[in-house]
Amino acid sequence: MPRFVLWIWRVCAVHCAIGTAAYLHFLVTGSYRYLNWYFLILGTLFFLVTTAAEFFLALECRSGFDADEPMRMAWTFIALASLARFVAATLTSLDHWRLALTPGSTSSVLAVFLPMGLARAGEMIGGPLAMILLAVALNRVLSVQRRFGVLRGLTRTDWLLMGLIAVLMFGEAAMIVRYLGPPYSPPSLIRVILWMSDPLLALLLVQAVLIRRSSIRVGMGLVSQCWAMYVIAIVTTLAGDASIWAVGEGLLSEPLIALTWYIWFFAAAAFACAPAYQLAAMKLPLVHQSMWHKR
Amino acid sequence: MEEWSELSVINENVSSSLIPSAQSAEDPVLDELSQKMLSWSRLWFGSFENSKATEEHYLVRERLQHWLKLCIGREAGSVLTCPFESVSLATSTPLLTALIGRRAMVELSRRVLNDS
Repeated sequence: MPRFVLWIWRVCAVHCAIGTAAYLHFLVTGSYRYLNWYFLILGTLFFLVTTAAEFFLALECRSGFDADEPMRMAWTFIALASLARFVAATLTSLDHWRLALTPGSTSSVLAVFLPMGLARAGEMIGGPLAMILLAVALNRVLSVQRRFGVLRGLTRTDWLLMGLIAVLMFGEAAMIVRYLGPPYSPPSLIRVILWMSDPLLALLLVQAVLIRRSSIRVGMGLVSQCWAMYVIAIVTTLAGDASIWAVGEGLLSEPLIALTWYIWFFAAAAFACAPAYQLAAMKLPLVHQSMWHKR
Repeated sequence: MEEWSELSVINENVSSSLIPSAQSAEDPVLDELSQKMLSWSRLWFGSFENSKATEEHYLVRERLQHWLKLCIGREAGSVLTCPFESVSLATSTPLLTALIGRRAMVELSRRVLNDS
């Protein structure tokens, strides 16, 4: 396993171990005290570190390709998507801190200087915007794979999965249409953009499934594992999204709601691991000093 | 991909025509150059049809297979135009260059050809 990937999962494991302790405290006492601290301080820090690492690693991957190489464009968009996620994590954490400090002290510097819509802006940048950028990048990857005959057709299970997603999308669109009628106020532009999240996530999933099929076909080398990590990240994001929907519909109990918050850490770790695999494939020939004969 | 097979045919023609011309000239420098070119082209295209494959040729192929497995996957041969057992730098370079970049591929080729 590449060094960076190992470090990302180590940090994730330690982070989740602390999170488990906070969750157990919540289960035993019913108090949100440590759980709130954990998500506010360590959770925020984890998202900032992983998104920053993802951005740095994606930039490194991008610099490994010359301007006329097709994968350069793909990595440019992946770097922009990771930058969008980093900006979103920063804005969301600032909003959390503003809210955390406001009740106790009205003179909080953050509460005075930071605007109210930070979380919304963060949602938009880290959601639809980052997804569009990633979709463009994955589309580029698919075209490169198609050119080299790596791309494989979809299986029946894939078609079934995508059909299911299409049904869910139509269901959601029908629900949105209901809220566009006269009794409701016209939706804001931000809200309309946020509605795009799920269709975009469905598009990403289709792309991810196609890339995964190709990865299975060629075996799991370092480059294949990079794309496999994106598949994991997208599927985990979808799971997180589904949990938000389930919470909104009141389908989950209180202990389960708190548990779903942890999904996002795995998605962030998977997103950070993906460029780490690609970078390992690109840097390995430089550092692989006579390893062939050591084996 | 077809370009590489065409190049392979061209290479065989050029290589075979190089030897007699060098021999007829009886110039040791030209002869050495011709032999080197022939050897390198065999390493590049991985074809030993009219000659005996040396241990170096096998080593180069093994190293290349190792790198292909490491970077792309165990079944990388399934997307190449030739069987994985007879993979060469000529057949695998386009795919590897596209996936890991030109600069990394130059280093990888050096490793494949020069690791001792």
